Amino acid sequence: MAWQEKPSASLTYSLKDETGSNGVFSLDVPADTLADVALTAAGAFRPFVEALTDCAVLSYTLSYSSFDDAPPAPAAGSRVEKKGTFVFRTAAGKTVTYQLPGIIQGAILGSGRIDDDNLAVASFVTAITEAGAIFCDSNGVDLTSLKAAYERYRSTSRRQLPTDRAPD
Amino acid sequence: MAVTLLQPTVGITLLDATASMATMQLNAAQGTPAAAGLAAAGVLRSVVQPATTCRVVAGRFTLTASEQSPAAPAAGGRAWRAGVFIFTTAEPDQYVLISIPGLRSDLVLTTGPGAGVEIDITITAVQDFIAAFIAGPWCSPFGLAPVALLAAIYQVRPA
Repeated sequence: MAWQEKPSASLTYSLKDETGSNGVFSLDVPADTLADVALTAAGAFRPFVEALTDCAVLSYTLSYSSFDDAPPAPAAGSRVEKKGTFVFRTAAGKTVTYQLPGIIQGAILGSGRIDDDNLAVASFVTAITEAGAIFCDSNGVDLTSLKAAYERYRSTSRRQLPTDRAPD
Repeated sequence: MAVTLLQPTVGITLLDATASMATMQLNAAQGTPAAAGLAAAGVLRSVVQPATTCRVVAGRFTLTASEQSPAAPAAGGRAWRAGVFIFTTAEPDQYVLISIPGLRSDLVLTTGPGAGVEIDITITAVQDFIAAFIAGPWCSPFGLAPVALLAAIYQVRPA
């Protein structure tokens, strides 16, 4: 099991044609390319792209990725639909909600509330809210404390249905 | 044309026992360097894994620049008309392939054996695009830089 960075970062232009249909144009840059450099290059390359397409450029996204090349198997019975819902307060007095897939049963109390004294939960909350953490809300405001945490199930999507669901 | 840099995001991908995947994504502070963003994904992974029965398998740091006043798409354009460009690299049998949606129909050859299929690489806009791509920081998913154009063709690529 080794966590490693992909050799390239992905730069994706999102485009739309006159019917409203979306298209993407994806490029790669070496993973050690600074974000500012890559985004500047994307902006400089954009006119050349627009000269070739009838679509309009809506945005471009730069993604750096890492992955586990040999991950251990997930725990038996784990389900991404079983969510741990965490509501955080922000420094601006608003809230932001994050959902953690496959929340451990040992962190859930009888009422469905998540036990914030559970060590794993406490570590997660601290990593999000501690001073110096880079996490924030979509407006760049710091996350300050946990407001609520509870178990919640999300419906299974069509793609997540078992492929062998027909009786044998 | 005005582009706004949105709040970057840090995300992790989890896998459950049924092979279903889900992602968890948080916002990060503006100006976060890529290395710090990926490190934050590592931190998130380390604190999420003990709290979930799923397995964290990937992390991602993403920055998005959004056009505030997008131009209107050209009349008649269709995203499924793709311009596919294939470039050679310094490694034999290793290529860089890119595909642009909504290729202008006037960029495709109308005569000769490549009519209707090949992109006309004598057109200035096409030449400028090819030169700019080769000169830029771009590479293949394996980090190989493009060296020269091998082929440029029109393809139908439904969404």
